[in-house]
Amino acid sequence: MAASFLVAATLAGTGCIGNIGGNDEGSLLGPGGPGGPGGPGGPVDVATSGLRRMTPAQYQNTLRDLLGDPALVLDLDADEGEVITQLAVDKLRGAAAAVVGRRQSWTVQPFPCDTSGADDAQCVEDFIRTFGRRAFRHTLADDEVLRLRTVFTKARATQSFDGSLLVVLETMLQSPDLYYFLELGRDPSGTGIASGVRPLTGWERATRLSYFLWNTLPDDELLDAAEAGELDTADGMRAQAERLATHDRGRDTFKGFFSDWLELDGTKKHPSLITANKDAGLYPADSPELREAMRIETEALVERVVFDGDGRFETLLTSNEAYVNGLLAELYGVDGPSGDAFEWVKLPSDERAGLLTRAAFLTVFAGVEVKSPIRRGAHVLHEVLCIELGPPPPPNASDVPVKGGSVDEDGNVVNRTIREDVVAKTSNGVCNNCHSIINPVGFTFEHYDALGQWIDTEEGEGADGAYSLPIDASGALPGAGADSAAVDGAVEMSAALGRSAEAQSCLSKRFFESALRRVPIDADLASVDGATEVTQSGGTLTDLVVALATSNAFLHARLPEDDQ
Amino acid sequence: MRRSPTRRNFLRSAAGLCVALPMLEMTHGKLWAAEGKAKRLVVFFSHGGTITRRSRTGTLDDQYAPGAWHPYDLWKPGDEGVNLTTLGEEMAPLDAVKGDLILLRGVDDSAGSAQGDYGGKHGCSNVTSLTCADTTDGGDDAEALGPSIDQFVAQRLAEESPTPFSSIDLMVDGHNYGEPLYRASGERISSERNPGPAFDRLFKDVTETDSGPTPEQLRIRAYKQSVLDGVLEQLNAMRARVGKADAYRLEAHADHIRALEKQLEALDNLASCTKPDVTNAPFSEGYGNYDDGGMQDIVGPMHVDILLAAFRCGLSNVATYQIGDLLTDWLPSPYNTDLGHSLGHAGLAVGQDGAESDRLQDWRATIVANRNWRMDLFGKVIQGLKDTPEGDGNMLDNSILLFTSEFSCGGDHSPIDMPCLLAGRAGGKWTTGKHYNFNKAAKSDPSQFDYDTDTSLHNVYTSILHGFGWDDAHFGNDNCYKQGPVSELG
Repeated sequence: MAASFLVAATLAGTGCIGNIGGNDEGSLLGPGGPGGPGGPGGPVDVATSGLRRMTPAQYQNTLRDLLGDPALVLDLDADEGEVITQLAVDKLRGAAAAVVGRRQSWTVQPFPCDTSGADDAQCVEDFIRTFGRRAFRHTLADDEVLRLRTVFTKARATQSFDGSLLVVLETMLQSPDLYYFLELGRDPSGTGIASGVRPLTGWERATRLSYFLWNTLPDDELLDAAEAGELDTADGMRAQAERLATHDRGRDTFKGFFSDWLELDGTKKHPSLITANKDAGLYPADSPELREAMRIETEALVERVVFDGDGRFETLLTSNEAYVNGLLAELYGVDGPSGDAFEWVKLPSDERAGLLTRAAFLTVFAGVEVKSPIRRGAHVLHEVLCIELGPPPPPNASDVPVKGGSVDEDGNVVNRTIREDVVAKTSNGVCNNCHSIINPVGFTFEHYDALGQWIDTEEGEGADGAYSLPIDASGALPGAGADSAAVDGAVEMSAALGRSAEAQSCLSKRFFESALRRVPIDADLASVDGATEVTQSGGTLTDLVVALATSNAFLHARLPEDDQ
Repeated sequence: MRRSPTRRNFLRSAAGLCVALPMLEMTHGKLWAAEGKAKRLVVFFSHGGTITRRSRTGTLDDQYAPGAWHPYDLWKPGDEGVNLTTLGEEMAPLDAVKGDLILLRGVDDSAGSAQGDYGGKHGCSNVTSLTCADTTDGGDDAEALGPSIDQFVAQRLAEESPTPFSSIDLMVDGHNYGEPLYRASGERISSERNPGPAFDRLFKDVTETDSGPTPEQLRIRAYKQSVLDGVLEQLNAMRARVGKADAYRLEAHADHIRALEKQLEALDNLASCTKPDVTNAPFSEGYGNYDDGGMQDIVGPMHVDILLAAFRCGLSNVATYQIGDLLTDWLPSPYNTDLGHSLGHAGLAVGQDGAESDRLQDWRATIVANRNWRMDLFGKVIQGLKDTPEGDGNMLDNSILLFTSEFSCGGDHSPIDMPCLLAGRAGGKWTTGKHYNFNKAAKSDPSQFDYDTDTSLHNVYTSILHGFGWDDAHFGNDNCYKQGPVSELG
């Protein structure tokens, strides 16, 4: 934590708006610090939270699993604003109708009777209670059952018995009880909880746990544990968190987390791995199949380390194992399969180490023609080290072309490497505030071109003919004075990041954001730090998510003030 | 990917030109005999700005890199006269309908410049350009704290002359840094990116005959009604258990369910009409990629057909049509950049003293082609309305169309001298074929290097409200130079 302070102070001093780990200066003494609310020894405190919407992926997974229809694909509105849009509501209606229309594909039959037969009141009741428990993630109270039975009764005036049951099903599939995460908690028992904070009920904890680790609804075992009160205890939560995290369904969670971490699906600022444009003349090896293989390779490494390996973050950043097909083997210049089949191979250990040195990340964080040390460096700072850089100064400087090549320097034609071009274009006063931190990180990636291929020299056609320039991949990770770590190349940098306390703390923060879908505030820091301690003392990534899932922030809620 | 014309495509084009409209649609129009005010609004929002040079400070120069900026202003007309006779190159595809246009220049998004972190900024400019509203923080994640002009009008019209859909919101997908459409404070509007689902949503339940619904159709309608009633009951029950903020969210959800119920009812009473053809419509894969590569030739025109058919069928009187910031489908020829958005910024490097001065013409060709394509789509909407009889005239006579963006010069994030192109006669209230430049320095400075205006989008949108016959004194927040309408429009 002390190191973070120094870095924050350093960045503030440069004028590059910086903030590390969500930890503002003075926060150790304020909320979240020892003895303060949310801090060690202080009362349990968490951020205020309200009703949350399911993500489109969560909603699709939920409907898929409710009816056992693995091929289900829904057209949903991508907007994730706090207030649902008209289009999103219309698409929820369409999705619920689409699911009902796919009745032939259901492998889970929701109706416990022959619906083509005579009316069967018990069947209606059993359907509502059984299906409702799964869909709404709790055992329904009598008034909830009555409300849905009334929907059935009203529908029966115009529909058949079967049709009326479908009306109830379609209602439930787009009901707010399914779609929203409502967390009202229960009255606290005992002391040690800040005013206004409430422990979540077992049902609410089951829901949080399941959507964090599986991105879909809780299974019956988890619901049973909630109903039996097992999730009201730390041991009970831990047992279920461990079960979910190590379950096969957890594989997608870890793969998805690290794909997000590398922003392989694109963001506002750059396209996805699939859509990132490359110059076909410069990169003849490129193809949609190669991009697909890059993604498979990245996810396979995550899966191998987390589920079959030592489970450690450091290994994810240092392993030179790679799951490659013919296209990727060629890209990496290694012996391996020649066709479409994938095999595990070892990449040259002086060229590759872990996720940040693989083609997927290096392709996304590069331009059409050339690599982008600035974007690569900025991503590592932001996503891996949680250093929040300020926006580029006006005019938005991020699009000034930085491509190297021939330039006129005092009447002489000089050929510049991309690194030299970056230095030339970012060293003036205002640019240098941030680029003095970004560039040394980004420069460590200089040996990888815009498709992630290893290069020993930069070749180009200059004003005086062809040129070949040596590559300098020396750089540094940020820090103040002795804490600033000089590294040469991305292999060394990855190893340093794997050991870095800041990177591990940042990883906990990123997992926290994935678990609770919000940015941690001071009151949450004890929960984040607790998870970091687990990995710093040799714990695995599974241990990390279990620590978060059993942290105070995960187990409690603070309702908006007017609700208290 | 260009497709050879097929019979189906030809038919779709024919429908777009309103050839041989069924009689019912003609008579439907008669219900809308001109009453001396607008009946219909189209907002065409082209993300990423225009080919202009007006910076955030109002000058034509880039104060941070003098000489590096491209030298073009292709938005301005051929002369400064009040009659719009020669269009700028960017607007060239509108030449056939230039007599139906009103070009306003010297209009600022002053709500954006007052609140944006550095006088612009993507997020803030997006959320202020149609709302003129206060924002949450002025940054890239800003939310508008008021409705956009299209939704404001839509809600008024929904009360005065209800239609099944209060607005129809379409988008050619791209790469955007913000959403300009707001239903209310903090409540965004989502736009449909795909023609197929847009068709299903709008036209699936429109009957194609006037013989009345069959018993099976009635049963299906009752089924849908029962489901919506059920969802509404569930929402009401949950709302009773939560606090104010969450109740607000659930009430918005319930509002949307009630809107769906009204649609069901209204569609039942709708005359039959011609549906657009969306056969083989491509599907968006994000970032301006459609799965069949047909964004330019298929998706863009298909959205126009959907919009026009929806108006002709009486499904709505308000439509928005967004085009995402420059789309990857266009690239990499001839100017190569990694993101569409970058092309706008590349305009800051292709000038005489810029880093890529040798690529000026490639840059120009690429951005002109893209902006002309957008204008052509806007022109198709204008022409389609003009070709549709209504009352004693045509739909365009009774409409107001607005073409705008979140920026003037995209590369500089400039909310000054915004693109503000109007079309339609607002039921006879507006005289078209006009050009008004509110830059007070323009008369004495032919190059218009200097800039001085007291007109903002607040004034234009107030005029639009007046065009609908409402006498609002002001639209939007107080970040304006003056209140009231643009006097030239009334």
